[in-house]
Amino acid sequence: MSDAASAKPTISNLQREIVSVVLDMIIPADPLRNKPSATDVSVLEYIIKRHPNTLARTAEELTELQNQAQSERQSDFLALSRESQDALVAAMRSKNPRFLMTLAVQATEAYYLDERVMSSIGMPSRPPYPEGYTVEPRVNEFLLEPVRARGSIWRRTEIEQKTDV
Amino acid sequence: MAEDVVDVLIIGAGASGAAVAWSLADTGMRIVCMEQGDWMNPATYPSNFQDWEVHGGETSSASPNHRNRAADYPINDSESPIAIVNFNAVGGSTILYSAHFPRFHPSDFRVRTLDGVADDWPIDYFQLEPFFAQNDRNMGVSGLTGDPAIPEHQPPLPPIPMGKMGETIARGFNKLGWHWWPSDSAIITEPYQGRGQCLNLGPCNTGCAQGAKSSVDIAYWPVAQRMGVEVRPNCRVNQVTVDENDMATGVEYWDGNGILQHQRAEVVIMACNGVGTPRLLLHSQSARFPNGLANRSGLVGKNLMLHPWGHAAGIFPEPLDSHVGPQGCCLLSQEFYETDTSRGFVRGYNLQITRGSPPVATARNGVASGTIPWGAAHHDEFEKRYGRSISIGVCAEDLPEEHNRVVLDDERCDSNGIPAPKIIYRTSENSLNMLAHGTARAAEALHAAGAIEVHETNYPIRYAGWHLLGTARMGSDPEQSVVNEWGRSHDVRNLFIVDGSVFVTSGGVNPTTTIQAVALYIADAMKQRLATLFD
Ligand SMILES: Cc1cc2nc3c(=O)[nH]c(=O)nc-3n(C[C@H](O)[C@H](O)[C@H](O)COP(=O)(O)OP(=O)(O)OC[C@H]3O[C@@H](n4cnc5c(N)ncnc54)[C@H](O)[C@@H]3O)c2cc1C
Repeated sequence: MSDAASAKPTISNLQREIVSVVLDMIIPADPLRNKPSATDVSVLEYIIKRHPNTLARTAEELTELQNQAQSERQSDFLALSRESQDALVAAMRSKNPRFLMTLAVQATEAYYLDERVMSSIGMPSRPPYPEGYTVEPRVNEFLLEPVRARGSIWRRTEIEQKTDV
Repeated sequence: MAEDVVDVLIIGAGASGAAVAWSLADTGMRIVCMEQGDWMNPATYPSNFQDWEVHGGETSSASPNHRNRAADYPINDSESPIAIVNFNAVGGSTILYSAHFPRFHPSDFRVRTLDGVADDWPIDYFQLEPFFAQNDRNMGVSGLTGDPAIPEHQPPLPPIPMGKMGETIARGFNKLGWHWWPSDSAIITEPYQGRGQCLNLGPCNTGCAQGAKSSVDIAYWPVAQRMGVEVRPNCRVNQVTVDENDMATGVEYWDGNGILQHQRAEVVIMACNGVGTPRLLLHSQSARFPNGLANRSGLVGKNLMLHPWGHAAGIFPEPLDSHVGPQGCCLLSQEFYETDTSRGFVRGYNLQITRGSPPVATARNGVASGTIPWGAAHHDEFEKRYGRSISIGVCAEDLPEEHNRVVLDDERCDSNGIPAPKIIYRTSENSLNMLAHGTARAAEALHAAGAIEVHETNYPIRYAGWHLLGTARMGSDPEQSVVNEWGRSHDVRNLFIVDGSVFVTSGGVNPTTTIQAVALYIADAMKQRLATLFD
């Protein structure tokens, strides 16, 4: 069920910029597999639509990143090199494994709903119904031979023993 | 004006209510079924939508506590390691079920005689056999004849496709010399009785948009309605009423407008499932039945059996296309179904081989559990899992124990003020030993089939309270059972119970085909005794 919001969720411009860096850390592009980065997928729109109640907490975590960058490295998070950004996020996640977990899970959901991603994993971007999918083969009779060869294995009760069913 | 009287009033339009209504319809009696939920609209099921994995909607959860629809009632499961899951609508829990349809074995009806535990049923497999066959035809069941683990029977439709994943795991079972077989499935694989065949949509557990899964709203009710049965949706029964002669007089119910009404009936049949039926009986208190209706034995609500569930999943080196196809139905193994006490437990379990997860679930579960990391390795790990996993569920036979029970909750109620059921349940040592054995065997089969990674889940799995059995057991002794050998209450001679409540033991397989066979058997017994039904 979506966590329908009562208050309108908000996120600052700074938080938006930080999130786009973090999303690329969660799922970067993979050109060989034709996969975009999570940054290029509408993750925030997805969160605002489906999980609006969680946005405030994620926004707080993004601010924590900025604060940590300032106190530890005397720099804005966005001004750090990508290597330093990665190290800072990794350190915060190893201290608290739940840190940015909600964002990671929601970003993953949004990512695998994206048409480009669907087609990169060989799924047509359409609902399952009405076209459906094909599953082959139906039954491999050859594989059943040893099972049949063993003969009946169900346990007889006194009823079958008496009547020799 | 005299109050309208119906001949038969059925409470609950799920698997058992539909079967009993269909069977009784040919008597020409006036039959009404009251159902607290509404008809479902398959056009709203998630698989109609591209974002189906996260679509949400009425059918997106099997837990009534999470769904919280008006038709649902809350269930207090705080004193049970296993949470109850169900669905409340015309079609009952079959709207969401996986439609895995194995039958009980002959030995399941004779556990006291064979193994010295629990009790024998007052009926046996062979009495039910014609009703199993009838139900297979009515529902539309697919399968392969010749399974050596069960007496010979002929499903009306060819089996569900095994796919590459089915072949892969079958090779593992063959390597170990263990039984396996394509599962009987209540999913039609060819056009059948005006319904279109399975399209391998995948998400059977959120409702089948194609109508190929035999939920009873499409498989049974339209036929029963054509035969004259009236379904009254959105009617929630509050109590079964009785007179001073201990005969049911009908039911008090909340109609669709929230008005409390009374419907008189000559016969009342309860089909609210193994939790809903004891709840309603316990709530139907009167001067003659201060401890709940039909409860002079004190056994209403007791002996709850839930099939504690275990699970293991394997990841395989090649693509198996396991992300498509009906998720819960592929193969089963009954190698460990019958008792062998050297295993450390009595009775046994079924291994249910199920398909892998679709994309969002694969990725989301991997990220949440840490098996799919952040960064570039995400893609490698996703690829390693997606379409390459096979799951095996362990369905353990649960033995009846009086302390496992359904009672009325002191605090929670449904939207009409009827007390919620509360589940008090402990997984027995026998069941836990069985799950330990079963989970290890499932892992062994996955390894034998070539899995490169195997994960065993902690058991019993919480949201696996699918099978609700035993809470108004059948028997010939009124002190030891709630209904007699043909489903009639010992205490109230025009009250019948046809759902899984009447089960004496639980078997080790998904129970719905057996629940429906018992319901058809009870209906047949009623028809044979119409002139003397209340004697
Ligand atoms: C997610 C899921 C997966 C499952 N998978 C399988 C499977 O693969 N194989 C299998 O064999 N079984 C499976 N099951 C179990 C199967 O659905 C049940 O065994 C079966 O539906 C039970 O039938 P029933 O008639 O006893 O009850 P139900 O089908 O639950 O129907 C009971 C009906 O009674 C109604 N009711 C209750 N109280 C009242 C009241 N006071 N007034 C009016 N109406 C009332 C309810 O609304 C409901 O519609 C699954 C269940 C779930 C939830």
